[in-house]
Amino acid sequence: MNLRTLLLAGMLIHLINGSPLLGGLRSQVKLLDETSVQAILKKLPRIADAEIDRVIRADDTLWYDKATMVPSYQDSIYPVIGARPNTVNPNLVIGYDDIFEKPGFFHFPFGHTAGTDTSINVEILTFWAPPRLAGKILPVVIRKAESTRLHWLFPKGTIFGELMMVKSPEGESVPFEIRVRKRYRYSWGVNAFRPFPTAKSLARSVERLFPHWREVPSLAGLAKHLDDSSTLKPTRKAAQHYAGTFEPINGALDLLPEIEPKYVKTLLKQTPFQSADGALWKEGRGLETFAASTDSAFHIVPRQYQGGLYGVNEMACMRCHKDAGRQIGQFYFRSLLYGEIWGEDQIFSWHPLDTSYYPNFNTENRHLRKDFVDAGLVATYRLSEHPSTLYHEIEKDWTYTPW
Amino acid sequence: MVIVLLLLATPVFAELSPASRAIPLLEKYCRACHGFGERRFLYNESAVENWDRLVSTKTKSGELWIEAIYRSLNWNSPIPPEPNEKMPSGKSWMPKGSKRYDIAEDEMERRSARETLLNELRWVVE
Repeated sequence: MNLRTLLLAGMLIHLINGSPLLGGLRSQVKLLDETSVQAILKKLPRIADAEIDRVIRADDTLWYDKATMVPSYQDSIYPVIGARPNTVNPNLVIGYDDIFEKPGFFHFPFGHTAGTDTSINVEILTFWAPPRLAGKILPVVIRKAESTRLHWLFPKGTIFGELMMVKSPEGESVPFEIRVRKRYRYSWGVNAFRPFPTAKSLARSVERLFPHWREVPSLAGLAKHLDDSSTLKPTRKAAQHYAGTFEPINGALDLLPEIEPKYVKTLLKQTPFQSADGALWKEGRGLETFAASTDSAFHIVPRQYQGGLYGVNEMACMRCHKDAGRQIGQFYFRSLLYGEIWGEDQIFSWHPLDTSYYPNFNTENRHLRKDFVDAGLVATYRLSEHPSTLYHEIEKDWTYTPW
Repeated sequence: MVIVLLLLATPVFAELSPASRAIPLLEKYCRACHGFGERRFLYNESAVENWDRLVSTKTKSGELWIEAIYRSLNWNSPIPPEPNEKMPSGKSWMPKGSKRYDIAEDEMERRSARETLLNELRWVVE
């Protein structure tokens, strides 16, 4: 096959599915590069959901980490305005201790992916799948909102996800959960995919993968624990900051006993991930938990994982995501003139800003990323081009009130 | 009505009843919020046992779960109510969030999943 035939074949494919001629979207933006993405994709388990399994492996799905999408927030109220990294110098922020847990992290409930607040052996990568209409990418639309704030809306059909990995003692990151949010007109639909949505499903996998499990003390102990409904520990989760926004949870955790790392790896790598929508990990004695937890250094979830406190449903996720872009001054009077909680449109991690302008602290430094603009991933909002059937503000229980 | 409910509560009858069709739909669209806690009406048991509970246990407001489910799914329109739209009683239409649009748009045997589910519940409730 000569070069001309190859080009013609490429054009034909392009005409059929509307994808770019050379490479997918990943080649057009400066997020995680193709080599890194391919390394991630090699680790991915099979996901028992056709749409998500396809999307997560698609060429058009973009992946980012904190280096390629620097966690950022806006400071929109005069006199000092602009965008800042979440790692902002504490000396530059009035009331820093109210707002941030430590450089890079807002206080709970806005600092970490739900359930990982106290986990240290966890690694999270984010993927973003922009939707297409008739082969054309639907951009994230951006407009200047109240005060100087940039407000953006994701088009209907956008999918965000988090690949959550637990780190082994040798430093290997092994996927244990994939969380997904899909934009509908009025809300974000949510799901989480886990190898073991219930204690019973883990027990079945232990029996299937390790036929001699009864002769291995740690596996026998794990099997006994999984079958025991009295192992749940009552656990309370409450916010010490941002008063009033997070209703305390009185839930429970199920701390799995330790097993050898080789068994953990086999369990995680050889089990397809299932939807945990509505799944209860275990219940007993009036307690319920939605996921496993552990104090072990390496298990099927990170150490001190608290995902068991949150059901996999929109209401649970909304508890925190509803406040993306909310004024910090609504929580702290002394921060009246300060900025907003990171994120917009219920997604914390994404923003369209070029971080190379951030050092210009005292002047307007919010400029759109050129790679996003050039790839058609972001656009200025125009009612005539961006109908409300595709772009619709999700109802919030707060309003932005600039001074 | 009482006789019908008692009949439905028997496992043998339930095997032949809407339990086998309605419960999987309720599992799909309702379990995320009604599979735990105070508003629970789905348990980790068989479709027959879940159906038995629907027709024999009551919500906090005193109506049978099956009646409450039917009422809150019966939007009087194939178009999903807006998120902030309430029933005349002031309660919320169900399901909430994205599942409201899924249940309206997913099709089963040329009907929406919601209409299929309502049809399974209707002959018990009405």
